[in-house]
Amino acid sequence: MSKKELKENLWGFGFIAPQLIGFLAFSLFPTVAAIILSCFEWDLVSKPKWVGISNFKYIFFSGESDFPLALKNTVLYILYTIPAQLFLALVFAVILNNVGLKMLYRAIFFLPTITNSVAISLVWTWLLNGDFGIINTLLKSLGIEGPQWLTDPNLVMLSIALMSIWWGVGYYTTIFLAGLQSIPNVYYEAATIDGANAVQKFFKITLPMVSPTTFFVLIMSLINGFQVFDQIYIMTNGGPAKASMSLVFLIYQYGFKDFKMGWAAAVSMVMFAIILTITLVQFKFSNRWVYYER
Amino acid sequence: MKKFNVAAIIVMSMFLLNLLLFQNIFIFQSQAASQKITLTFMNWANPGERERFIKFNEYFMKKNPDIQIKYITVSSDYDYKLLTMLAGNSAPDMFYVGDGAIRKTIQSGKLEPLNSYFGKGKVILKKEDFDNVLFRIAEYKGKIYGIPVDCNPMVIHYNMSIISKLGLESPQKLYDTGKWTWDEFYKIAKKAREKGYYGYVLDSGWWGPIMPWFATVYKDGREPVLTDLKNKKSLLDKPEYIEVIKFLVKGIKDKAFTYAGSLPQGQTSDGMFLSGRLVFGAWGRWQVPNFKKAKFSWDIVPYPTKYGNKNTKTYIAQAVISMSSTSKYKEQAWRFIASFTNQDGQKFRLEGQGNAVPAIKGIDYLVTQDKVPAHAEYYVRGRENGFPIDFYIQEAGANSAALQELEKIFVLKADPEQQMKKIAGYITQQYQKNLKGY
Repeated sequence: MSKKELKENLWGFGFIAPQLIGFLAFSLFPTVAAIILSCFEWDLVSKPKWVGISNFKYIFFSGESDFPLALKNTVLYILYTIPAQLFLALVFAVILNNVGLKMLYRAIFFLPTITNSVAISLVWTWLLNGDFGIINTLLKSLGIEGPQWLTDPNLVMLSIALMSIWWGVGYYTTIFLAGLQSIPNVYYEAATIDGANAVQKFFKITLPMVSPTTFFVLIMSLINGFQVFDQIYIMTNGGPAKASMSLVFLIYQYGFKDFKMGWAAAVSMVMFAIILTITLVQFKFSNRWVYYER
Repeated sequence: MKKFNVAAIIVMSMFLLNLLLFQNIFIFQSQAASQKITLTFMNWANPGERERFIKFNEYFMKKNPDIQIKYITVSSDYDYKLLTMLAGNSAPDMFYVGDGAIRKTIQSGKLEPLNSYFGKGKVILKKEDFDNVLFRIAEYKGKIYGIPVDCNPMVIHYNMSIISKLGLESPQKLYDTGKWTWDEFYKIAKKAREKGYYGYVLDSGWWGPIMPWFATVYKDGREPVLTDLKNKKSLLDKPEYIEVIKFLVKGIKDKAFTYAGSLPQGQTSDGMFLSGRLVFGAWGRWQVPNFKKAKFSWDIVPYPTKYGNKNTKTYIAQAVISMSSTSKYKEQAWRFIASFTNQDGQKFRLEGQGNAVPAIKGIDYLVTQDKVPAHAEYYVRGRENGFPIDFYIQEAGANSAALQELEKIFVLKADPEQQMKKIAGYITQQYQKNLKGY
């Protein structure tokens, strides 16, 4: 390497050094630490003890671990949130794309997204209060006995999902809106000439052309779905009786409450593997339904 | 290839760094360099308590001009923060440890045994100055690892205004006549619920709310024993304890009682009591500063018992102050601990404050001179006739899981007998695996 090339490289490293150091210290290092920790038994106070794959055996096969329950709750949450969020976000985006005062409506839809998750969770905790919440009070005024949204084990995950849908739909609407606006108008004009109606245009033009955006939204919402924590921690603390315990909440429980760092790291690794597998599968099959304009 | 080599070197470096850290090769210590010795003191405190602790620290520093106190208040996740500091060899010189974490903290091996400090130093403190029961949680294999800072025996607090309004007999009268039984307690709670109030809220998340109930099943006033230490076996599946759980389940089923775990997050029993919607709640004296603001009349009474006997014991919630074994100034740290927990220190902290019962003998008047509540002597009686938490469950690492399984009885309506047997079986398993040295 010539002196000039070396100098250029050094300058380059210098400029990216802050980001690189941050990435190494706060992303790569903890990730590698978690991988190693998943093979240790450590409670913070005693010396870490190598246990090999025992932590993984515990969470999968012991019958005592809450991992299966947490996984089930997380999958339930994803099944409640993602289809609804995708559908609503696309519908809102299509509507917003065709109305006046776009900027105002976009701002209104996007507001929940930029609001702090803790604040929103606290407010929704009281909205959904079975005895005093506004929602049940409104239902009562219509002669309907509202359920115990957050304290009924059969309903709690749905309640949290409803809140998450409301919170997140604005963000995905904005993304879909950008995707819709990138569709060239010529296709719609050609379709109009050919006599296509609005429904046909939507299914034959809009949906296929917005499929790259849909693909992105699907991946992001799946990853976010697996990482649900804030709402659960604030609204239900994993209860009642672990009915709303998600995978990340389980990691928090194992690490910060039970001081079982090895278990927490093992669950993190399994969750990472699940998300990675699902994402790779999506990429693999994306060419069957995602159309990129060439 | 070159880029791959660079990336591989970076990742390998990360691996090596992590492995070195896990072998505790890197030890971080910080020291304050000044003419005075600086000691760090850490505890938890609400804003009111914090002010009182700051004043105490100033008072101590005035009396001990060679010592500077650096005070840290932790508002949440105290146990985790403390254990992390102990693990990183950066623990304060003196710190509170709650009864929910004391055994784990002792197991860290980072607490200084204090036996040899009694009766020595510039500030004399003797073990006999305290009720012996308060040392049980901090005593391990003959060594004492913490001095009780104060204590909080659990008693039933009741809203007298609601009870009078409903035309029911006062719990105090029932207690005096030997009729303060489970049935009477249930009747009052049920009537209150029918009239739109909450009868009794059973708090969740720790053993404190349940443990006193286990004592109320005994006519002879004995202490409930949850662990057979000799055989390393949990005794939670004993018929009398199952009977207690069944009583509570019946109350919850009939809506006379409410389990706090099934209330919305943020809706707390003390908040409900203070807003005049709850008749019975179980707390220690820590609620008194809060409840003094109540706009209704309230008082306290010992837990109701199965037979109406008045000799029942109660659970004492408590914390100790410990010394780090890595403290460089142990004599000075002991001086602070002794000053903090002797009569002067406890009087300074508790006078006019009213949020705990003194752990040291001779100053109980601080509790009883305060006319709110009217029967404040029950707090003191609770210390004299109380028992600590069953710390073996904690020591075996079974605490969290056992509590979560217990919750299933009250929230998911699991069969009490089957579930208690399951919990006892799990705890026994953990005892066999983790309880060592007994």
